[in-house]
Amino acid sequence: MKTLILSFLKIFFRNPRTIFFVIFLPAGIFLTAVLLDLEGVIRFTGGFSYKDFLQSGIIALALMQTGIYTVAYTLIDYRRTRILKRLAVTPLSAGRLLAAQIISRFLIACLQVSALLILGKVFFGTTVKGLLYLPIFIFLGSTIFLDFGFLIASVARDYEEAAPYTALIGLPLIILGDVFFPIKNLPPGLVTIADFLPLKPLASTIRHFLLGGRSPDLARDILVLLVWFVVLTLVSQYIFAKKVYK
Amino acid sequence: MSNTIISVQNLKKSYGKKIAVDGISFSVAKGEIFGLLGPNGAGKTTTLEILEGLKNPDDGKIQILGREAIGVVLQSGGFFPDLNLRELLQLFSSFYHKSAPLARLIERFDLGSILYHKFSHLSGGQRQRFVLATALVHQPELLILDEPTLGLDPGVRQKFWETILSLQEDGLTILLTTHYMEEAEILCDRVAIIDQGRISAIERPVKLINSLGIVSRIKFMSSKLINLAELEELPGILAARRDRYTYDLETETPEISLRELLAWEKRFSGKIFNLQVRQATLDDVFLKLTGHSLRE
Repeated sequence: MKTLILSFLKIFFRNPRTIFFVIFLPAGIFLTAVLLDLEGVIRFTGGFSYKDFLQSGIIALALMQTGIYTVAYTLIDYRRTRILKRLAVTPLSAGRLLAAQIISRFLIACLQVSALLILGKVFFGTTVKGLLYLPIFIFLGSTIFLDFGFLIASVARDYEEAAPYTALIGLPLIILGDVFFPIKNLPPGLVTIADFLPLKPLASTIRHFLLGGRSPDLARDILVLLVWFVVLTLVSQYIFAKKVYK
Repeated sequence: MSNTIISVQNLKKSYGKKIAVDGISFSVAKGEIFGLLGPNGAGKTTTLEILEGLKNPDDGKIQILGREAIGVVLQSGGFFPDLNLRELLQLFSSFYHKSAPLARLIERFDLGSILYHKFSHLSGGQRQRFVLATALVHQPELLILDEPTLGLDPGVRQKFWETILSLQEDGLTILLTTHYMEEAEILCDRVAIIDQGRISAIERPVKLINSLGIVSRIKFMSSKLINLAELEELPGILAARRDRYTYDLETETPEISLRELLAWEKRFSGKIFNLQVRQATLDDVFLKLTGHSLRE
């Protein structure tokens, strides 16, 4: 599987377009949002700034985008060009193929997150405290959204079909994601929904560790992430193996 | 160890209401080149995909080697566009327990000069060589090829045939589909004629042609008028016709009749020239068995 993981990394780094989407686009969104300067509208307490809030949100958002968007389209391409078929006639199982995707994307996600942290710290002076547990949640978040991508690629036959699915999943997640603004002032019903979708718990957990332990909901957030991780990984691997990997 | 590499019994597969494979049976012996000959949509690819484990049959029994022992050549595509040939070969050999030394494969398929090229930049012939090399990275016992020479020019096709025959000499068993009768005649030890999901005959190509009583034709011109009855008396000749200076003989045994005709010419006071033999081909066989041509 090592060769396959290395191959996926090579493929990634040889493709300027995906590098743009994975590294430069999130950085650009970060920059733009900082310029919005919501500090005047929303008050942040405890010595933290809007930039601190935003940094964790952007990291979670970037993990989501890489998973849902780029992987779904990549896999649809692999199917269209019969790469999946060619792999399926070898002893390589669907599980190992997806595991290699997950591992290589995790390594890329680490790079992506590092870039965003450096950008925030160096240019905006954001708070970057606990990094120790961060890789665990990069892995969980990255994999959950990759699983969404696997599912979309299993259901959609082409780009045209994949686009509405990605929007359908991506949009509510972003709106309720605690990414660009704190959603605690939204109607309680919406907040509850947000608590159990994967993006907000991911953003909150990352925020908790980066800003040095302040989230009262940490245990619940981690549990929500773990449930999404286990269920989606099992379901997406099963459906991918059944529907696409042949 | 049995001598049968593939055994298929009463295989059936439908897509909704469309029946793709309608109860076919055949077996392939070790070391044999076996061909499925039929037009597009006859059920060839579906049959291969079931044998490759990509599709589940609706009914029927299959016996075949495991994936570790099978090499596959798809009809087209199948390779990551951003990796070069060397990387692709390494990747594919990493999927198997057993692997052939890459250096030997590279030499055998003459890939040395294009090792750092991308698959999409290769010519038809280079592609064919590379695809074969990737199918053989794990030294399989069985090679399955789906329409391997589709769209290749004649020179490349010829080269490919030579390669396939040399692989057979090395002991490989080969199953292929084609809708080129010429390819089936040259390569295959046995051919299954398949049409609309059914096999109508399985035989050696030569035997198929001979067994169905399909006539070959011998045509020639003559400097002097010949009595048709005299030609019809020659062994093997079924009928003789004349159209101005051209004579047209029908025979089931063109080799014998031709020899007899040339012997007869020595006794003949005139000269014959423009001699042509049109042998019956698998296309004629196909037409006779299915009622339509392979090219339709």
